[in-house]
Amino acid sequence: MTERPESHDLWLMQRYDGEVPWREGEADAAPSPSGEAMSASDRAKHETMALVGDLVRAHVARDTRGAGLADAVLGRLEAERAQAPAAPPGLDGAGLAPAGLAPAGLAPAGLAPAGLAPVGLAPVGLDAAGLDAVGLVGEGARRKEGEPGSPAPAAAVGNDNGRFLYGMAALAGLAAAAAVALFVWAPSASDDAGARASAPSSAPSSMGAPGARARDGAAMPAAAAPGASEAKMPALTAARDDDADDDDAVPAVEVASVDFGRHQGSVFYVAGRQAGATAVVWVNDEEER
Amino acid sequence: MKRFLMSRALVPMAGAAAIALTTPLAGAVPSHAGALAWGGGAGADPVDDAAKQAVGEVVVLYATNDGKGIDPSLGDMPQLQSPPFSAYDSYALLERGKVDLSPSGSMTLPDGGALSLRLESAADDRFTVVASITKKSGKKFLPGATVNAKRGEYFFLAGQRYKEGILVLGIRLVDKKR
Repeated sequence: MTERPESHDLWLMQRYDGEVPWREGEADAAPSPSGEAMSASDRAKHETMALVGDLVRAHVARDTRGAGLADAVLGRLEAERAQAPAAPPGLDGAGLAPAGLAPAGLAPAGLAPAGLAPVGLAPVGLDAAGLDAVGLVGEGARRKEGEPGSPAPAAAVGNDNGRFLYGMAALAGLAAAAAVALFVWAPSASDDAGARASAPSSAPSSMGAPGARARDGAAMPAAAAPGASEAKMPALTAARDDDADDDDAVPAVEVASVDFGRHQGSVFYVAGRQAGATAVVWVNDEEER
Repeated sequence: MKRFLMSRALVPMAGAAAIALTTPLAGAVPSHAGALAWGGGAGADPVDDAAKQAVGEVVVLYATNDGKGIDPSLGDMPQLQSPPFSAYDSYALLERGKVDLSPSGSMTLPDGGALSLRLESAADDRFTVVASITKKSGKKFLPGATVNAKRGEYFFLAGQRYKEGILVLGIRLVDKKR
C-alpha cells in the first residue's frame, strides 16, 4: 500500500492516478491526510484534472507529427545493438584464435600492437590477464567467455581482423606494384636527361642533372671559385648541350647519385678527351675559409 | 587460420620483393647486393673479380688563379680548359696515387683528409664506384657520389678548399697491371 503523502493535493493527484486504493464509490476508503473525506472542492479538482487530461489527449491525438517517432528511435537503438558486438572484440579467445592472433610468436613485431589495439582493448575493462598483450586469448579472455555478460561474438571479431589484414595485404600488393613500375620505368628513364634530374633522392635540389652537359660559358658557382664573377655563375642545374645529343647512348661517365651532405654542389658534364663526356662533382666548400 | 597465415606471409614477402626490385634503381648496372641477389651467388662474385683486376687511379690537382697555367706533367687533359674548370687558370699536379679496390680503399689527401673509393659493381668494362671525401677533422666533406664510369675514363671531384685555391681530384678505374 502506498504511503499516504503529507500534501493534500498530492494525495488527490495520487488518488486520481489510481496510486492509492481508491475507486469510484469508495471515496472514503482512503481519507485525506487531514482525515477528511473527498470534499466538494476535491471533487472539483478531480473533474478539472480529468477535463484537462481529456483536452490534452485530444490535442495530442490530432497532431500526427510525432507518430512513429518513438518506434523509429527504439528501432534504431535495436539495430545498433544488433550490429555492435556485445563486447569489444579482441578479448574473446574464440574470436581471436581463428584470426591467428593468438600465438603471439606468429605476429610480426609491430603488427600485433597496431592490429590489436584498435580492435578494442581499451574500453573493455577486463582484468590484467585479459589485457595483457600476450594473454589476449589467455586465461583472462577465456575466463570471460561463457560468463554471463561476456560476449564476444566470434564472427564479428574474425571479420574485423580479416578486414584489417586484407587491407594490409592490399597495401603490400600496391607497394609491390609500385616497385615493379619503378623498376620498369628506371632504365627507360636513363635515356632522358631531364628525367634523370630527379633520380638521386639524396642529392639536394641544386644538383645538376646527370646526363646533361654544362653549357659553354658556364662557370662554377662563384662561392667555389675565387675571382669568379657573379655574372658567370651558372644555373645550378647544368643545361643540356644540344650539340651533344648524338653522343653515345651510354655516356663514358655517369653520376648516378650524389649525397652532398651539408654542402651545396653541382654535377657538370664536360666534353672529354674522346667522344664521351666526363663528369664533375663540384662541392661548394664554404666552411673553414 | 590458414587464410590469415597466408595474408600474414604476404606482407613481408611483398616488402622483400619491393626492396629487391628497387635496389638496382641507381642505374642499369645492379648494385653489389643486387648482383648477388640476382644470381651472382652461384659462381664467383663479379665485384670481387673486378676489384682484383682494377685499381682506382687518382690525380690530385691544385687549382688556383695564379697565372701559371696547366702543369705539363698532367698530360692531355682538355677538360681543364672547359667550364667549370676554366674558372681557374692554373692547375698543378700535387700527387698521383692509387686506391686499391678490394672492394674499398682510401688514400690521404694533401690537406690531411681522405678519399675513399668503394666498388659497387662491375660489368664488362664499366664500374660503379662510390667516392667519398672526409676532411682531416673527420667531417664528411662529400658523403658519397655514386659514379658509373667506363674503364679508364676520368671523373672529377672538386671544390675542396686548399691553401689559396681548391683541390681537384681526377679519378679513373684502370687495370691493376697497368
